[in-house]
Amino acid sequence: MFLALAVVLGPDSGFPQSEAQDRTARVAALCAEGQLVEALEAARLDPAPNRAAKLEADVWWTAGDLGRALGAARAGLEVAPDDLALGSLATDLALALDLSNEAEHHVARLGLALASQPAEAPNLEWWHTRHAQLRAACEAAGLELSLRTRASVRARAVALIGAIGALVALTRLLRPGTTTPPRVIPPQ
Amino acid sequence: MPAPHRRGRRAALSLAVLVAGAGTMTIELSAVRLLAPWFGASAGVWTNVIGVVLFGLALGYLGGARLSMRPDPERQLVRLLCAAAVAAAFLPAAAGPIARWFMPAGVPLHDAAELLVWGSLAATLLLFSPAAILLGAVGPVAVEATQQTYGGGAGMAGGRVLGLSTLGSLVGTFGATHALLPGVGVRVTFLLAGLALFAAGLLLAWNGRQGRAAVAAALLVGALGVTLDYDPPGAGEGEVELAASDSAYQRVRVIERGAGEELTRYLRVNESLDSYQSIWTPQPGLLGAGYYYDHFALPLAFTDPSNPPARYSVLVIGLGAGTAVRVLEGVAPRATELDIVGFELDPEVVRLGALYFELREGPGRAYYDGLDGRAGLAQLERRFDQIVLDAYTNNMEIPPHLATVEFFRALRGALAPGGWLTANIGGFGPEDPVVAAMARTAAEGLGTSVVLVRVPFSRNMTLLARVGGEVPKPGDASWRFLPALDVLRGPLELPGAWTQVSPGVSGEHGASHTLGELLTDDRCPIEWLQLRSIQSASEAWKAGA
Repeated sequence: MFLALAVVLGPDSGFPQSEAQDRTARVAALCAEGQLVEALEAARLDPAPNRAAKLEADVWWTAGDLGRALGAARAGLEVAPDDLALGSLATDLALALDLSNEAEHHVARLGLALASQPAEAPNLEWWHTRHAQLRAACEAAGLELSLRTRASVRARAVALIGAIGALVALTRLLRPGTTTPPRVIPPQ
Repeated sequence: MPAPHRRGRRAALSLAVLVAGAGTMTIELSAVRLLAPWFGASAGVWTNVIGVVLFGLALGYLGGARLSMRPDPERQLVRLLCAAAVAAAFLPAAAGPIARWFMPAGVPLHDAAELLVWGSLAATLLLFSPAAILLGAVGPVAVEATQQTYGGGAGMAGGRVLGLSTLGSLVGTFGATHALLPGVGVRVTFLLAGLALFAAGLLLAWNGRQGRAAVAAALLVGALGVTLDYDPPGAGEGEVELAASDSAYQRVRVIERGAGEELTRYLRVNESLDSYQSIWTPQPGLLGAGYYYDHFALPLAFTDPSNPPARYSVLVIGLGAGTAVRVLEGVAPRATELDIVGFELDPEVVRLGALYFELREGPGRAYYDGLDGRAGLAQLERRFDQIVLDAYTNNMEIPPHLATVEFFRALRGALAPGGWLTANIGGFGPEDPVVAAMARTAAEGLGTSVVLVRVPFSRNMTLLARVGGEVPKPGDASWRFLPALDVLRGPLELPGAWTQVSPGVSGEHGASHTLGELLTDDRCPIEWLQLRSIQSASEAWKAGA
């Protein structure tokens, strides 16, 4: 995760490189040592809110709490909606949490942010590839969701039709006046 | 004295009624097992199956009443039995395609609740209502045929048919559960039920010299059903199925994935979805992030490294294939001798554990299979330093009798002074209905505070409690970890990862926390809470919990 962050925190991140990389390295080192409370504090102290959000999301990811990691990424996107790294991270996390609708929202926004980048922006090719991968993953997740939704609709429809059919049959079978008079059977 | 051919007809008629009763119960009791690889065998699935079969029988009785007024009730009986035989013979082959229609592959556990309920109901309707209707119709037609054969009143004929049919149902009930399902498996059980119904129809046709066309048609169509296979989910992509069997409780599979150090084996039961019951890796010890079993080592992690216990006794309730044992064996200090007792309800799981998961008995290791955790606990007269509670049924359901305040009181009695309880609870956080209820109930039953710990990268929580002692908290002097287990520490120190629940009061780092339901032997709605847990999970994540 931190390797990915190091890549995406390239020259496009808008921060002095040494400061950004130092803080990333410090948070990564604290995470590797299991000092997650200190890592979280260090991440939150970052003066750039979008970078703080990215680092905080990474700490939560390291702790295995993907829900809070996504929460941090969402908060970062509130202040920096065009942040490519945050968009990518939020998409990844939403996919991991099986929130395919949210993942599609993030990947669409990532696509728009990418389209607005100047042609000379660094790492543009890498970002296009990344976006394509995420979009494919979102499409696969969306397909799975649609399969599940269709299965659910089918199941409800069959259950409902079955219940109605059975009730109609029951009513018809119980209707008075349709039973023939009993026959008298002579003993054999 | 009746003529010999009449005696044959009477015997054939009685046998037909008996077999129809047996067939009905065999199909009903095996129905859940047939569906279990896709929908599990929860109370909800059982309810759906029983409900559909009862409704089918009701329709069958009413339809059979009409049919009984037609001429030649024995001919109708032969037709009904043959049609029911064909329906039964096709059930194993039809189960896969129909179940997959309502439960596509790859559904995660937290998205499965709706599909498990509605999907199992729809699949049950399509699969089992034809056989239930046909077998229900046998009764009234058999009453008519009995009255014509034996004479006498409707009460006499009805009583005879009901008596024989109920006796047959008894045979089907005990035979399916105790002999057929564990002995020959799900597919052969249905085929045998179909064969018995067909044989009863054949005998009746033979003696009555009627309905032979139905017999011939059933033979032809039923034979096709016999040739088709039952195809429950097997190994996924990149996986190998090492073993699969139908135990008395569930369908059990051993799946292997990866190679070398990455080699991993999973024990999966029934529908499994994206979960598993046990896991094995080549090296004993911690399994890594995402595996709740690692938290069973927390009591050992808190021990003083300069003074490890010479002997450490552990009771594992819900042994499975022995994953908890293997974790503890790998992390216990060298100077500590482990003494482990394990209870596992399903003997097949223990057998597969010995074969594929290195679950071996020997000095300091005693495993009791076929023994329910609570019943076993009542028989034990010793106390343990730690109890591991990891008992589940149908992948995600905590057995109700292992979730009550009375059970936790019994656990308290089996813990040595300062002894630990470590329990795995499937749930999505401390506010999860199941987790909150279990925490409150455990706190009340044990008479001490319990701590809930979030398991990283999973949908599980670990419940920790110490009888006659305190669970160390972040910042305490006793908050120390054995070096080999220090990897567990970091995530536990983060805000929200650690929640304390006390008897009557609860709080997360001092903040208020919803008090869960108190579960008792008298009232334990754990299955309802579990359904609510799964349904609320997606919403909680969407809200960024």
